[in-house]
Amino acid sequence: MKRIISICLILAMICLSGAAMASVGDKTLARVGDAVYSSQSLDKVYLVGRKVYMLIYGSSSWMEVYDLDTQQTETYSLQAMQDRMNGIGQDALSGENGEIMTESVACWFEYEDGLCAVVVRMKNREDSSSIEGAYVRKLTLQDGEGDLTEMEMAPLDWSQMTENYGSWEGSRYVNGCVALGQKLHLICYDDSGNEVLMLYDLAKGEAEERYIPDLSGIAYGTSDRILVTQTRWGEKSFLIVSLYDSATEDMEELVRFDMDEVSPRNVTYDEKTGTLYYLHAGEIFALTGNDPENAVAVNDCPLSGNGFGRVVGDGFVLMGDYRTLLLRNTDPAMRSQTKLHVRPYTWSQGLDGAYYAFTSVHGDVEVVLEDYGDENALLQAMMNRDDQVDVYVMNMSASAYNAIYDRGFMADLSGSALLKSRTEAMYPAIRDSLKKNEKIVAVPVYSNGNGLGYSTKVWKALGFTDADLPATWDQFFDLLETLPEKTEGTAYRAFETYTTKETFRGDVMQEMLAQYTLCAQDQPYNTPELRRLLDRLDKVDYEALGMMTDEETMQMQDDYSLNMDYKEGLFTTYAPVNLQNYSSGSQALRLALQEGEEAVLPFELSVAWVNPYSKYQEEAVAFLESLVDSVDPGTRYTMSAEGNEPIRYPDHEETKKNIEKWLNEARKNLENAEDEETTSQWERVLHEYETELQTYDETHWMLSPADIEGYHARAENVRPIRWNLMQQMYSGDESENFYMIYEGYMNGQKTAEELLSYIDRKVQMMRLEGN
Amino acid sequence: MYTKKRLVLPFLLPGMAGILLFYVIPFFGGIWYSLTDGSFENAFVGFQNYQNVWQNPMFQLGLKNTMELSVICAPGLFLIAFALSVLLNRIRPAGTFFRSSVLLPYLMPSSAVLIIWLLWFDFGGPVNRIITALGGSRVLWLQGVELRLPVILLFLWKNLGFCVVIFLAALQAIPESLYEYATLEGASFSRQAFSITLPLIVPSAFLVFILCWVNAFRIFKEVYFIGGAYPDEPLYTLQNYMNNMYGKLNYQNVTTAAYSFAIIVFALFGVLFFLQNRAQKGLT
Repeated sequence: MKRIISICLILAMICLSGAAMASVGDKTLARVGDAVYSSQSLDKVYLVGRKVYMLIYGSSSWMEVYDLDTQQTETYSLQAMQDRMNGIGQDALSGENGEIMTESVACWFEYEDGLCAVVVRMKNREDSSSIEGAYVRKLTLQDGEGDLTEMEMAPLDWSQMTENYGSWEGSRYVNGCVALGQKLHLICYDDSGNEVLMLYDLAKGEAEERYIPDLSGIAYGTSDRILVTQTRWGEKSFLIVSLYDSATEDMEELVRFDMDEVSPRNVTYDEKTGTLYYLHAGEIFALTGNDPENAVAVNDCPLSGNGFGRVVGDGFVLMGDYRTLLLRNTDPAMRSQTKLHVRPYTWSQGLDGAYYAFTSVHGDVEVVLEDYGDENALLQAMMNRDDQVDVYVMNMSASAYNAIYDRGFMADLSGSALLKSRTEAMYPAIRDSLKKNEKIVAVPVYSNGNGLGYSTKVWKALGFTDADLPATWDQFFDLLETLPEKTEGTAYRAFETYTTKETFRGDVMQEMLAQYTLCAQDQPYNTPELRRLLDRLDKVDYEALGMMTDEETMQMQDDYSLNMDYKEGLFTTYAPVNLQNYSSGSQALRLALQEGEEAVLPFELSVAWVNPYSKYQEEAVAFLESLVDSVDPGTRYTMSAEGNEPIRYPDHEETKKNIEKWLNEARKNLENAEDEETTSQWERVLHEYETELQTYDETHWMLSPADIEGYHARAENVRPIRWNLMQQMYSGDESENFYMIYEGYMNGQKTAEELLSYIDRKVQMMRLEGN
Repeated sequence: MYTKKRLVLPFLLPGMAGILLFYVIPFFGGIWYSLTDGSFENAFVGFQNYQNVWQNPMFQLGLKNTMELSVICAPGLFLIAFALSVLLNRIRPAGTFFRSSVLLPYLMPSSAVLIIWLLWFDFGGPVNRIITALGGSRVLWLQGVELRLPVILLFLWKNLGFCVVIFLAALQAIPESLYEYATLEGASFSRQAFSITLPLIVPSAFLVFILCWVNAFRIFKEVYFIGGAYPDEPLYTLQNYMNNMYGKLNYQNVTTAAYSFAIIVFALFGVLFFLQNRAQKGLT
């Protein structure tokens, strides 16, 4: 009996561990560039035997090799090789008479039992450059280093791949490269910019051009044929997938996708089963035969961009984009029973991160990140108690969001301790917007807002103090009158060079109206106060402030003989209202519409919520918990006073090391300089690097201490936009009428009163109709 | 007899199923929508939506404007169509050409017609030039209450042909021998008109009158093309209200307004049917 119970327990444990992945055997092989502004990207992926080669670029480059059998990853740096090819270091190729020899990899390809590359060698002179040759090299990986070694093969005839720009030569960009036997296929473009298939005989190095109409991509197909995709644009657009035999020029069409219905990406073919796999709407589809209707979704796949697909055998495929490489089971029977559907209606930085964070903990739940949905169909879905989608993401100012919010089609999230504590810690205006009847119904996922702001550096440089900051729009206009005198003879301007009279007027007017919308609630727009403020805006002496018109700026850009007044500006109309993931050096102004009123700063907020009809409420709430931790730092810090730790750019340390490396290189060159001219040249370079290194720590912040401090000082004034006036004015068929009135006002043909009364009429009617 | 009834049922069933599925169920479903609050709880609110909609100033404005436009357009269209059809019925040379050409505006796409209309009624357009030539001052036809005139004229011009065709068919269906017999009996023109023509065309005239009202109630496309979803107040119709409510995803208000309007239309047509019966009895 005990034995039977033990066997049952073991079986139960095996079953449970089997369910620990969304689908059995699924794995994330690479995930790079997750942090905001990370320069890392997964550039290329190759499969050689049972080994997956992943080429990753960033401020340095390296190769990761994953063994599908041992499930181990090894990392090899390519930096030394890269430096040498770029002509840096002792091993760099030397040229004659001041020429610099450099090499670059035109393309990588799988060849025989390894990975090879076509290396193009360039000879660079001060006033010209030329291609010296193209060679096939083999990648050797040893002791954590990767290098390209020479092979006994004929050099490739690169003449058709060479482009001339006067005395400068360059290699054409290669888009896709597949080797079958001794034939190397690569996509390039001809003199007219048309895609062309280049065919190289690796034994002889000879090249041949092949024109395939509407060619858009090539990939590994079968042992003797490549997989070709053609995108045929027209009234009806198609993606045609075929197998192409370059020896006989035979093309076998496998399937033709109607691109209005499906947009397949990462197409790959399984020769053994005759199955085509592709990515669409967050899922991997398998198609046998040539009718797209027969495609079956076999697994989830959250990749967003175009990328790489490859069958690896044993029922698995590799799917990748520029950041991620996933190994996915293609047996639909192995899919998880719990499928969480997430449908965004707007962009959110954190969704990808949340996917990986959530699935790594909840292996038994499959998450399908769907494509963007149609906002207008959402309420109908809710009224039909649709449980197809579990989590929605939308901008708060969208009409559909407000319809959903007003009618309460949002699950109560207050039961989650994490979401509750996070929400309660938020600034009141933000916190309240996420609640309905005291219950938490949404979580913030992305914030963005810009407005009138000032450069703190220029403000101080012009002798102003914080006490001089204008507190109302009137004070701001008063200040503008004094600025021509203040900035005269200084290195500063009142506004940034590219801020034209029209952009300033438009931006400021829209900001005032957005503020008024938030403050005035049901009040009319055509009020003496707003008219007076718009009148003051019109009467600003733009010429005295050095502001050009749009027309003048365009003339300046076209005519190089005219000089623009490039000086640092005090004001910008594009200062971040919330905390954004870059340090702009400017702070948003807090301007009240009237003396004694509170200044409000509008910003856009996107939120996620759970479908109240979802069958997987618990899992959906857990996904939101992952999501709040995955949102971009700027949004996270915008929400509450808790975010105080300054954040560097992800590649800060690496970039700093690179500057130091260049600095050492310059020092060495200075020591070795033989003549006076070279010495002064290197002294200048050295000085530039030293200055850059000194200011680097000061300026290279994603969220600087000053940004954070400035934001928290104005955080009580920020308000999420629930109803976007301009969006409403430009909505519907009468948007053209508004455009004409608006343009008329901007070019002086319409008065502020005419503009405001038009807005008033429409808004009042909308308000009277109700929601 | 019983067997025959049973035989009829299978033939009726597909049609009945279609009517049930596409008319009866949506009709009662719509009523249900109008009696709920449309929230997550979907609470039954009785006639609260009706009360809210009837008290809504924009619904009232839309209803008022729709009624005003209908009162002008429907009888106007009816009378002009009748007069024109009598005239066309008498024209002998090239009669077919005139009778066919009167249908042309009905066949033209509204957007194309509208461009011509906008050009004519533009501030510097032909209509204002005629007015200034006659010594008057130019009018802003495409704004405010003045916009009603181009809209009404556009409506009349566009719908006239269809009504004329129905009238003409009715007039031409009256046997000529009846008039000949009446003449022989010494009946005067008015006696012939009231005893022969009118009683025989009353059913068609009633149909035309109903169609005029129906089309007048639906005077929206023209307004929407010119003024969009939020035209000047004198042009804001009930269709604008329902369309905007649909845009705001407020299906409760859409259905409530639609059923409210339907009640008014049914009541109005009930009165018209009653009047038609009375008129026909009186004439015969």
